[in-house]
Amino acid sequence: MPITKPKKKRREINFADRSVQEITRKGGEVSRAAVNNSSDRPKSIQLRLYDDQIAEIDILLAQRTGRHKMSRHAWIVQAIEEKLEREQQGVENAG
Amino acid sequence: MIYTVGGTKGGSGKTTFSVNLAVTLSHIGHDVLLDDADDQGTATDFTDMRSESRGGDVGYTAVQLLGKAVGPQVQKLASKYQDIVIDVGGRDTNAQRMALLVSDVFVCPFKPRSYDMWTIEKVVEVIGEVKTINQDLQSYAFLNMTDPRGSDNAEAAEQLAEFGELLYADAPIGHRKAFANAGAYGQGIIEYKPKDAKAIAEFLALVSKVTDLKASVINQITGNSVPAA
Repeated sequence: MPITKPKKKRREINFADRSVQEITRKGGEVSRAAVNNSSDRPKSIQLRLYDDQIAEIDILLAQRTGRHKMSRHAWIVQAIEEKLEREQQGVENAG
Repeated sequence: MIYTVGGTKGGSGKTTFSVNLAVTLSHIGHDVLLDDADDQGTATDFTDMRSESRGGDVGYTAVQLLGKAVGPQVQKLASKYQDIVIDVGGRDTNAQRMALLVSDVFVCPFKPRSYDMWTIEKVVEVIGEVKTINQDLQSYAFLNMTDPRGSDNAEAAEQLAEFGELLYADAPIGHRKAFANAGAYGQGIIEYKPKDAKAIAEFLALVSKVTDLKASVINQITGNSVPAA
């Protein structure tokens, strides 16, 4: 005579089922950075500049010497970072 | 058994309960999987600390299944582990809903504070939706970090007892520093020295209410005295 209680079979959830998807869709997403730490990768964007602007940048770059030398790309990235920092400080000061 | 420890309010002690439950179940000899489905990753930090202090032998298997992966992956792993503990973040996320769809037991801590208590209805709403698919889900609420005195505990307990879908597990846990101290060393409350007998007794009393473990089994293995239910 079996004395052990038979193990109850676990109910299988069909995750492709529409009703299951409707329930889970109502919940928010966890932050993307947490799901995939490598998501913060460089992305290519098209940047349109006038010849004069590029020339101005190149003149400034040519004046740089020694360890201050950098590529045009690095100069533009640095310029964006400086603007981001300035604007964020502005927001903090305003708050 | 698959346990989800969740809710829709942060800072209520979900991770503390999750890691302590995983540690206790592993002490009882169960093969336990702990899923840190909270993007804050505190249960993983606990496991890392535990691994360092115990030479890699944490006593359970830890994974970080997040988002929609929680449901299908836990369902696949269910047959491989005796117990699975899923720690979800304090928000209504798809991870939490996925976890509840595959869980046997939902445990939801509440602090006896207005902001926490205001989330009961949202939690009950989520349970109601999940139960249209997973009818067998047993949901428990308990009071965590209770006050040493005053009427807030009793008022909160009364509110928690109002909802049929969310059973009130009458085994409150006080605001005890020993949980945080133990966690800082990657230890469960039952392992931490100096022993906090009150914290252990409260925690194990709660475990006996929300798991199918009998108080006698918990007492025998952990050497602590949990009153029989």
